[in-house]
Amino acid sequence: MNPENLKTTALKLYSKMKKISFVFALILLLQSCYSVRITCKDCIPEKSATMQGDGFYRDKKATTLKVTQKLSFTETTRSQYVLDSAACPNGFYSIEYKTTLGHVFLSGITFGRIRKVRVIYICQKETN
Amino acid sequence: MATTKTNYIQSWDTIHQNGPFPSQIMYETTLAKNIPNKIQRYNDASTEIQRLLTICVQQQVGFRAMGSGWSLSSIAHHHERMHNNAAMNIHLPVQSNQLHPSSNFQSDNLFLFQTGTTLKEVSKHLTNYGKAIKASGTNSGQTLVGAVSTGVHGSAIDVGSIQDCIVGIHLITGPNPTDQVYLERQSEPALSDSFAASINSRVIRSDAMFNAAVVGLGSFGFVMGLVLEAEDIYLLKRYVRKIKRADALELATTFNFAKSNFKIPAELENNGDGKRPYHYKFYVNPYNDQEDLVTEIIYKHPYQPNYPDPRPEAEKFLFNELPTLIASIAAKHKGLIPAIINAMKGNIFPELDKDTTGTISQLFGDGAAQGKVFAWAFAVRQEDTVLALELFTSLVKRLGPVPGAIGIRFVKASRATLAFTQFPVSCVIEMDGLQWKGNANMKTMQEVETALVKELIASGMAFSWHWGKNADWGYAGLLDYMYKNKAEDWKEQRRQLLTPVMQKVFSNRFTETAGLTENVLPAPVIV
Repeated sequence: MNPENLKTTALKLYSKMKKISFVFALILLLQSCYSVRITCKDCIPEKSATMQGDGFYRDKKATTLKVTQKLSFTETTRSQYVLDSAACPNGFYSIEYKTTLGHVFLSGITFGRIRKVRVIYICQKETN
Repeated sequence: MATTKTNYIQSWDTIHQNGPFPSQIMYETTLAKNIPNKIQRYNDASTEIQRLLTICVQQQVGFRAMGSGWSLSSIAHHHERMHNNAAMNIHLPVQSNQLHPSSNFQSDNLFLFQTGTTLKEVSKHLTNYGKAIKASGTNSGQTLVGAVSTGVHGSAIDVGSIQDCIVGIHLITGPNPTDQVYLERQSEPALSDSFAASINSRVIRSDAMFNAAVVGLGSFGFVMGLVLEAEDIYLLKRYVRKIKRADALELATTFNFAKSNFKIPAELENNGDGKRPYHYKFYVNPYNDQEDLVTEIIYKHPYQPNYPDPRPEAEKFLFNELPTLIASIAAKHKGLIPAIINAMKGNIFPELDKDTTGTISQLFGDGAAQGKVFAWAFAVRQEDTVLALELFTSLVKRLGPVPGAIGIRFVKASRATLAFTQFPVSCVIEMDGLQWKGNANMKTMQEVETALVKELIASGMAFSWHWGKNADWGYAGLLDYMYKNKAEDWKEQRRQLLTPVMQKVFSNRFTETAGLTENVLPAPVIV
């Protein structure tokens, strides 16, 4: 292979690697998330005996909802997701709202018509 | 009727990820919704537990309630049947007409708490009555029964451990109607026989049996309820200060707070002497002898209502639970053990917590899991504090280095037969840190645990290990060395209370390994 061809191949490879890196970076970036957790200080959470979660959720019975709201073109104000109080008859102990950059991006390009969030909630333990 | 869900599980783990341990079934009992009367609802749940025990006896399997899973040892685990009792949380304030005629207790200080009630729930209910628990561990996630059964100690220097606030125990010892027992000390009767009858129990008043059963390690039957003595609500003022090593050790061995060089200016008597605190604890970095120590010192004050809510500060406390402190150090070094050890050769103690005032439940509140941590804790006589600390730090440096820090606390003696806080004043030396596996340059955690027990016994120093912490529990002769004839007393009281069949049901591999019980078949360990 002459040096010119070698240079061209190297440049192509470099360009391809740049694209792959960009896609990987974009995927990673879109996964990045932020969350807000609201917790009731004086309340008692429902406990989980199986210890499946990590950190805050390790010993608590948590429910995760993947919520996708699709608004019709005539709707302009629906922004709330209603959690059925029957899910926690004794009240909520904590509610966490989690969204990724990807979700924000999706919401942006659909002009807010599609909204995706993840909601994690823990119920209060019944008092006896 | 109370109902029980049967969950088929492969394994179970502690909150601190000290397992996983193989297991078959996790029962989960929920109280009846349609029984408004609390005593009837409580008794209905007892009947349900007896139904489960009938199944266990018929199927010849063991049964163990798990509490909240806060113990780091496998004491809460059973390889056959486990029980999640978190929903069984009835509380009942004792009425004056329920007191025993010879009782010296005030009825408004006594409360019955059912088996699944957590310490946070206990404090919440007590606060509503203007009362407070006398002592607490460093967090409130444990159940009262779990904390009492394993001898959780806190560090109130003149109070004792949580089990020392218990004056009555309701035990279910088997499946038959006569297998419900209400147990009290004969020397300190609390509740009347008619109260015991109201919970379908026969009465046993015996100091020896009560003292054995109160730290019963889950092996004296199913603890359905505990009668706790509370006191009027009070405030605690918490200070965290750096303290000269010599001053910390002098205080540790003498409790001479009046004349110590270390004083808190706001906590002095009129004559200038230092007041005696409610709680005294200090932290030691085993890898830096030059670093000043950090002390957490707490004073008790009468309750007054207008004080700022301490919980926003309490959430940020670093010098509260050792795992929190270690997690903060580990986070700075990306969890890499060599980096952590290297960092510990310098000054590791970060910025001190702010002075904070609150109730006991506000200062020792919610704790969160900190990942895969280990904890070792053992008690020695107060006069042996310096010797034991030198021995221990030398061991962990030589055998490790172990990625952890040391906390030293002091607790008044407990009357419980197998309380590990058995000395007149027990100095509890605790090391918490990150679990590690070992390699060519570093012994495994289990190897270090064995070596620790071996060298402590070889030193001839009296000590006893915390039942809820990691240790080489099967080390030959450990039980007899720690408790001498007390271990035999405990076993004898258990034999008097339980039939041979029920002794087997209420045993597990932990109690068998420790030499407390027999006849439990071994189970494979999940790797």
